[in-house]
Amino acid sequence: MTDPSNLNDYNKFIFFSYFITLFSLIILFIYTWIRLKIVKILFDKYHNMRKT
Amino acid sequence: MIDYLANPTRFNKIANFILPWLLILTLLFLIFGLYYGLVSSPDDYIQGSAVRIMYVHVPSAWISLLAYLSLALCSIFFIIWRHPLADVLARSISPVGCVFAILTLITGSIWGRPMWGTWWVWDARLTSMLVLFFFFLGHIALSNAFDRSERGSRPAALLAIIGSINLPIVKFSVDWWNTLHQPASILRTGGVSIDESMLTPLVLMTLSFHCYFISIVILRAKLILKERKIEHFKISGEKLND
Repeated sequence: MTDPSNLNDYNKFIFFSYFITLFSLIILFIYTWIRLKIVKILFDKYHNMRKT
Repeated sequence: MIDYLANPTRFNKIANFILPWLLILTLLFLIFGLYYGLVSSPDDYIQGSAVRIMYVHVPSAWISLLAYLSLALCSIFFIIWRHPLADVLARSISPVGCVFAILTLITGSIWGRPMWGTWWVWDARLTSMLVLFFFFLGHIALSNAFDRSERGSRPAALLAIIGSINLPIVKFSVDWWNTLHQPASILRTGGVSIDESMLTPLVLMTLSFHCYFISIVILRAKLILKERKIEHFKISGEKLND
């Protein structure tokens, strides 16, 4: 990224800030969702083991 | 009200009901926010189109402050009443707040490069925001530093309460010191100083980030509650085997 000499060069700064923000939020959501699914499977497993 | 909500089973029921609605609202506000922010809103007469970075930077900053405030309140609740759900919520909030704090610093840095000619300055606002980020990191590290997760709850809560001193410093740093960072334009005593065409995408993105924040905190709280139940199953299983 270079220092822009005119106003038209701001696009890449805008792109990077939006990309980093949205990408991080999506990754955080997917990571949490998958972890929750795995923990649910584990919880059911332990719950069934306890029952039997 | 707090007693009513502070029951894990009831919390799960309410969470399951509001979670899909929150996710729908997050998406709706985000779509409209992105449209207004990137397409419909005008360029600033000094900053040009770089002003559009504000629509992700400012909501991120607000959410990180809100996250820390919620973290401090949950910690106070946990220290006084020892309610486990307050600890679960604090543990759910800190990583999400940490992500928003680092996003604030990164997007601020990307905005600062074309506007100020530098990625970083040891300005009061930037430095206090960095300190806030370190407090989030400290809370995460301390709450997970022990072999049994509950042992880290009290020291982490104390750290969160001590760190809340930094909140007014972040907010009023631009008024108390002569900073390169601009003063407040929205949450200030003289009223909002930005035009409606720029306020609309800012409000929409802020609403979207708020809904997202609440959704992720709920998801993480559900996750931690389940993990704790598994931990108890394991401990009771070990006791039975002994």
